[in-house]
Amino acid sequence: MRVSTNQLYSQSLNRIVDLQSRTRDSTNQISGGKRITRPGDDPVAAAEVMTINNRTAAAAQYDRNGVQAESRLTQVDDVFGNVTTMLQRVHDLVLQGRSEALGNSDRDAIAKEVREQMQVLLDLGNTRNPSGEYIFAGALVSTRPFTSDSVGNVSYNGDQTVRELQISETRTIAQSFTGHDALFSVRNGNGTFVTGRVPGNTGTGQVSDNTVIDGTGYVAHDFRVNFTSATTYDIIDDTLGSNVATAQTYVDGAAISFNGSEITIFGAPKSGDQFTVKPSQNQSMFQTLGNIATTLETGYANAAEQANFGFDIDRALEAMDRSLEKVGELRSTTGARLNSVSAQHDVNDQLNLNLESLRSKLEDVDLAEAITQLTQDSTALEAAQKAFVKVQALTLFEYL
Amino acid sequence: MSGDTFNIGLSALLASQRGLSTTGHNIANVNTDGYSRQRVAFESRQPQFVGIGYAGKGVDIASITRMANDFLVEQLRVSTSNQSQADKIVELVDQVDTQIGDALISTGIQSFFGSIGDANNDPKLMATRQVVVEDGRAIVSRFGEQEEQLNTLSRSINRQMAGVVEKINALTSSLARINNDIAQGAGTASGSPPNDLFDKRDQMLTDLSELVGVQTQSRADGMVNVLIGDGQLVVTGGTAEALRTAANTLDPSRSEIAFKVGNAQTQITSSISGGELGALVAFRDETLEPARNSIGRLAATFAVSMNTQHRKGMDLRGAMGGDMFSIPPPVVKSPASNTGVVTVAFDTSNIGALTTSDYRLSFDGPDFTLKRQSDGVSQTLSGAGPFSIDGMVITVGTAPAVGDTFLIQPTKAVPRAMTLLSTDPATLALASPVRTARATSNLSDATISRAEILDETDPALLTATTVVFDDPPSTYKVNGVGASIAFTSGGNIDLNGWRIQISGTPLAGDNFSVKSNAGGTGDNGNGLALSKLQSEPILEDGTASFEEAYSVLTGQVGAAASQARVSSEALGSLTENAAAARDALSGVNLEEEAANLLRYQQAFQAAAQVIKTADQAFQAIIDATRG
Repeated sequence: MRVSTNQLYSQSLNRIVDLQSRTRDSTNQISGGKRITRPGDDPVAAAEVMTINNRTAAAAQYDRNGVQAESRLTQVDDVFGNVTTMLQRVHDLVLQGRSEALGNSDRDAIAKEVREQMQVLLDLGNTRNPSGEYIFAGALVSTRPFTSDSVGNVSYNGDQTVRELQISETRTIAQSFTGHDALFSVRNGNGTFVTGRVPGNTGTGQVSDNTVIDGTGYVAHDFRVNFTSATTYDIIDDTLGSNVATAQTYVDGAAISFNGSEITIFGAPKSGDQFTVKPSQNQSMFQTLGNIATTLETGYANAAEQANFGFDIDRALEAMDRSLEKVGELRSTTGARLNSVSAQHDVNDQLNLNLESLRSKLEDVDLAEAITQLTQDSTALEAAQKAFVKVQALTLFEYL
Repeated sequence: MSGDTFNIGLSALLASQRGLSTTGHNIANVNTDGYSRQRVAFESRQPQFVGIGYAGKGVDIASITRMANDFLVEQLRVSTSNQSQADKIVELVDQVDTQIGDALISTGIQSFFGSIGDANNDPKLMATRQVVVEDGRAIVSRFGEQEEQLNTLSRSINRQMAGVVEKINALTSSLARINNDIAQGAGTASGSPPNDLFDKRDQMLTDLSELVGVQTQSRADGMVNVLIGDGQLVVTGGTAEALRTAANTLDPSRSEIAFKVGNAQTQITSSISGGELGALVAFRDETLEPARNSIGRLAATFAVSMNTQHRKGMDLRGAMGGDMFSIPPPVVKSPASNTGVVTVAFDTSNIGALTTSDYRLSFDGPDFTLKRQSDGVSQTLSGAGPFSIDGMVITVGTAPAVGDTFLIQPTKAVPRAMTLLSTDPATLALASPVRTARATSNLSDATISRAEILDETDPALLTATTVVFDDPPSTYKVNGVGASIAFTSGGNIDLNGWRIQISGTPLAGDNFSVKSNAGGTGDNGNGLALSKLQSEPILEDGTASFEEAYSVLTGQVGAAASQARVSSEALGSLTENAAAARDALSGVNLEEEAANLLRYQQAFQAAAQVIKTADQAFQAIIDATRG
């Protein structure tokens, strides 16, 4: 084929320019470390890298939230640990106060310590986090959640909203508990029903061993065991206003079963003595401690009062058990949440690792390949330049 | 006898001289664009009968011809036009590609949601709220900057179109002039072709085709007609008709190409293809405007979604949240000749249906026709409206007349005019407006959920309300009065614009309350709902989150850029081939010309020798007769 002189020039030149731009691209890639300098270099990978970057940033946010959750839940757990210690101390005090060897003044001293422990609980309930927020006040973070009035009744001033922290795209975790849920919602009695004595009982009858024997047969009504004589009693459903059983024979220490539940009455009740069986209600730990202190302070002077004292101490121990159970529950929930946070952290780490390796595959330059390419291109460029000079030197005009 | 030899020698001398000068001409034009090498064709003179036979009388120059082939020239012109378009598109798309690839908006959205996340951890802390405000400002300005960059490009397209049209007009009038010269030249030189004028005209046509795709028609008188678009005659023989640029009647920010047909200017933008002008038009319609609309849609969807959720929250001072961002409604452009008035608003309840297209609304008598310009799909809107369609609500104000048309640009104005309204960190509505609680005296463990806000405009939204369970607790009463309502555990209870669920087994007398959350400064209920929007698939009819929508745009623009580069490379080699084919025939080769120089030089020397010999023969006779 005939070749024009211009073509010889322009073709060689085009090739040289082309190779120059390729070596420049390779050099850019190698120095920048990135295969993609703008989306047009690889649109699919670029869009994917953008999505990966978004997800990585979101995961970093979730991790930050997780760290917050962890530190806040740890603080909550510490508080509950202290509450447990405090409750155990009070439990010991109750057992100690129950001893018949003690006089009323000894019990007064014990009651004093119970009241001091109550103050400890109040302080624990009003714990603040490093940001100055009351951790048990719900969303009312600047309101002191627990306050005590002049006679020692403690009220809860927070709300029932628990702040949730986002620890993954789909998962939030509560950073604390409200004071209402933690300290104010302890079921009294055995958790299902609670026995009580009617003031003015004159016998020495007491109630113990309150258990639910048939959960499905249990109805949450108010019941009353009414002694019609020292040896007979009626069981009355006060909610319905009807008798459950009448003229039952009383046997000291024998179980009385009705409404799916079982209670044991022992001692010597007198005619007209009454015992109530009501559905359990929420009772605050402060109330429990207050009741204990009052019981210890009241003491007893005669057999009937001693029986009432015994009854109240039993209820107190029952309530202490519920409180300890409650704190146990709270601590295990807290532990579970902490585990979730740390598990989520591991998941996020793994995800980040995967995302990072994917991003690197998509976006980062394969140095070995890029350098090989650069070497090839620069060799070709050198060859093209040499060839250009050689070819241009070959002309007939040289010989004219 | 010797006179004949003289004449023969002279003819050879002249012929060789012509050969030498043509070779010189070729050498002189070795670097002239579009030059076709010329060749001298020789022929022997008509012989003379001299009794014994025919005696030769020397040589004549038959013609000086131009080594050119119209087909090859045409091929080169077409591929030049295509390549010029592709190169220009690469140049233009690369600008958008680089801008979008910076991902300013995407990272802006990311850090905005990041700061909301931090604020959710400490909703009462002013410092964290302040960061949300700053990031909100940043995102507004990023939308604005991005749009400004694209808008600058759009204005530059208008200017470039005007510039290219001016160049086209200069070339077409030169073509008309050279057409005339060729017609005259061909006439006077008794049929000899004006070679250099042809080359010049071919070169002009090639230059023209770099600007816009052209077709040519050869005429018997040697002139060519030049057509662009779908047959607009810009050069008819010796006259040229100028193209013009004019502002679009509906959207003055957009330049159109106009051409005079009869007495009227007709808009021919859509039929333009090839060359730089074709590139400008194609880039504007296929890449730039869709990208602008895409950014606009992202801004509109983002603002509307955030606003909708933000209004459902309560701020630090106990007031209901307002709009977080302000954005302008869709723009309706109408020519002055319209009678009717139409307004368009965003359909906040269906914002995910928003598209990246512009729309043309026309009234044809009883009905409106709405045409989506991206895919050309039309639909008829009957009745008085308002019409909810594609994330917009179209409301008819003043009744239109038949023939009224409106251009609706739903999102284009949004990024530039977007502002942040929640500039006071305390007005960020991170808390839920109502709080729920179960009474401490409840006998059961049944729980109440957080409230979900269904209608923040309900006047009773913040009114304290209790749900009190009857005996038996299979029903409940609102505030303990009125009719009993059947209860299902975990079922929705919708009242006063909120929704709650009560789960578990409530007992008779249990009560659950919902009331204003004023003072609940540590709550992040609405903040979490705002956070959720980050990963919520909202756009594209609920299939893409904000960031996904942006990366889709990146992918689209990137694909356009990569495709433009690929086709530019492919067309580059096609053009190189076409140029090689043309040059193989028409290009000057200096080696060849050097050889020709030697050839004609030798012929010239030989012819001179002939004359010298004839002279010597003649001299011999003179000498002999002088005695």
